[in-house]
Amino acid sequence: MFPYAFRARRSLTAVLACAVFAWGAPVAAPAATPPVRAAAARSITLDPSQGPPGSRVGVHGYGFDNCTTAGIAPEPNPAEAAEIHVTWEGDDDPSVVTAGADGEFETDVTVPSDATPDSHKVTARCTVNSKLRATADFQVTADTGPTALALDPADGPAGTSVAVTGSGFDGCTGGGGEAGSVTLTWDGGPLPDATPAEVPVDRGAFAAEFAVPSDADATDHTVAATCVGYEQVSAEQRFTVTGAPVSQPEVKVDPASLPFGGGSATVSGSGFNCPEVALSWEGEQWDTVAPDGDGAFDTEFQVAPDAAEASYTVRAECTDDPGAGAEATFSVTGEDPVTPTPTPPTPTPPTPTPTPDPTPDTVPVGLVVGSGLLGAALLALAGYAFLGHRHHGPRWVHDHVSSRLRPAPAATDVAEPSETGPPTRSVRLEPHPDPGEQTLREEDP
Amino acid sequence: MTTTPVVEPLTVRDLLLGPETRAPEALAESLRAHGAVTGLLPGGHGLTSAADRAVGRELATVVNGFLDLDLVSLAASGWSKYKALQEAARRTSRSPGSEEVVALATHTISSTHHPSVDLLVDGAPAATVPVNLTVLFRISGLVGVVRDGRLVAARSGQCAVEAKLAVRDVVVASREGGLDIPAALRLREPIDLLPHRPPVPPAAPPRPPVPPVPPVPPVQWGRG
Repeated sequence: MFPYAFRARRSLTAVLACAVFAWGAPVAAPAATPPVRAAAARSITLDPSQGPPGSRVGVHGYGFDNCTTAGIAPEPNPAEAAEIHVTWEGDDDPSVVTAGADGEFETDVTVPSDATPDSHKVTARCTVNSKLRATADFQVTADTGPTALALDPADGPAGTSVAVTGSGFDGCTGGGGEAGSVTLTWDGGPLPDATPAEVPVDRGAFAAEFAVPSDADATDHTVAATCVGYEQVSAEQRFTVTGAPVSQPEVKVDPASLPFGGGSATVSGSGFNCPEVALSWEGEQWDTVAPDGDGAFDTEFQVAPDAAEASYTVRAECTDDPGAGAEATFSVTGEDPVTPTPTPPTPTPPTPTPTPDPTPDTVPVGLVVGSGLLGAALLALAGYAFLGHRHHGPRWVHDHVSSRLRPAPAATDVAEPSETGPPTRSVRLEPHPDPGEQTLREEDP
Repeated sequence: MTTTPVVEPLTVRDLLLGPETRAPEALAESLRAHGAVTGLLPGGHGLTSAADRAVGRELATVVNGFLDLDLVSLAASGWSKYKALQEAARRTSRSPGSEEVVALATHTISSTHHPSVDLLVDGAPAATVPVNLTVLFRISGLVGVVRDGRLVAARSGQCAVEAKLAVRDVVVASREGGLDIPAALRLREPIDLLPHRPPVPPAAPPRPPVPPVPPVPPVQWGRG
């Protein structure tokens, strides 16, 4: 019995000793080791990833923390970062950079001006360890010329709608080779009324519209189109904001017509930038009004009850500038027709019976009276129409009709001779004088 | 033929057509009246009737220019061929300061002229209009004074002038008149009767005086 107990005691002791060793007993700490880090993927990214010859390309490197002068293995003393050469197609003019402690670096390369439109490699290589390298592809695009921006119109007052067209934005592309887009700015600020807000670029060109800001000063302003994501692809153009446009006077009459018999109507005007406006009816001034600050006015007028059926010209013009005016037409429509007096319904005459009627000539009274009233009404209507459609005499014409001469410059034109008729001819007369010959003859005596 | 008393016709135009101011219109009317400008431009030149009439009027203006001939000059050209006057002119020119009075027999001087007018349509020759002018002087009783080869005056003389103008062989004007030769000559420069004589050489400079010849010494003759 006792051997089992001894063996058990020895096992327990071992276990306890292990435990002591495991937990309790101070154990000398092993040498500090740096935390094990997952090796960063060594790579470079290009921004932009494509462009025409001459483009400046940003290069961002990752995972070059091992590029140090101490070699691959880090040493207790921190090693110094070694140079990293970033080259275009391995050329002899690298961009030299060193990685930070995080192994990242940032530099740029320039696309050679003679680079052909193709995929080209940009390589970052650790100079002390050529195995530490990363490569990225840059797509050289065709050089389509400089970017350009056109505005139509190129000047105008605030609120003008302007069409924008851009060209040469081939370098403006989206991620993954998709089409890019541009945004429009006004003096560096956003153009809220630009349509669309982000303008898609199609084969380097785009079109958009915007409204000149209402608070734009009357001076030159800069409109810019910038590629989204590639701000270096941009173009600017100047737009000149001119003074506020001179609004054209307008006038209208409401209602535009009234039936014969008179009534009231309202004359409304706008665009009269003058202190006083004269109102005239068929050329005869009847009133003046003062427009408000916006050049507008409203005034009521009464149409004479005897104004005949016709169209009349109502004119409003600035008293200090008769040329600044407008006209509207007001019509007096046909006279109210004389509605016939409603005749009472005539009683239905009884159906004659074959019984003998002692007064066979008797006619129902209602029929006679009703017919008479209808006839009288019709006669009155005819008489009124005849008398109403009176011809206006000279005096009325003089009072109501006026004319106004509208001079126009004479036009002179010479028509080329037609094919019919005699052509143009010139006849020259060349004289040949003769001094003559004199002869003498003596008479016989 | 119309006889018009001429007071002092100095040019053929004055004789034929009257005052100079009305001469072109008078000639144009005469040309048209006699049909001298009818069919002036043959062929299809495409002239309207109005243009045709205008050309006719301009032709009259040109022909009128031919008539600016001085009548006395025409007669003088005939006198320069008058033998008696030529001889008197030669004699008086050889004897400066002398003069001769020559009574001329009745004689006739005719002056014929054949001017023409070329018509060009748009620069191309189209027609030539022939003009014939004849002026006839019938002179009688002319007594002329000739001095230094020039007819300087006429003491008397009667001259009847007849002029005839034809255009395209159509007589369009003819007139007769008289010319007062003595009066006409008074108002003019002397008429050179020797227009083709050689120019008078300049006066020879006076010869220098000849020095006297020295006397010849006497000859001693003898034996001696």
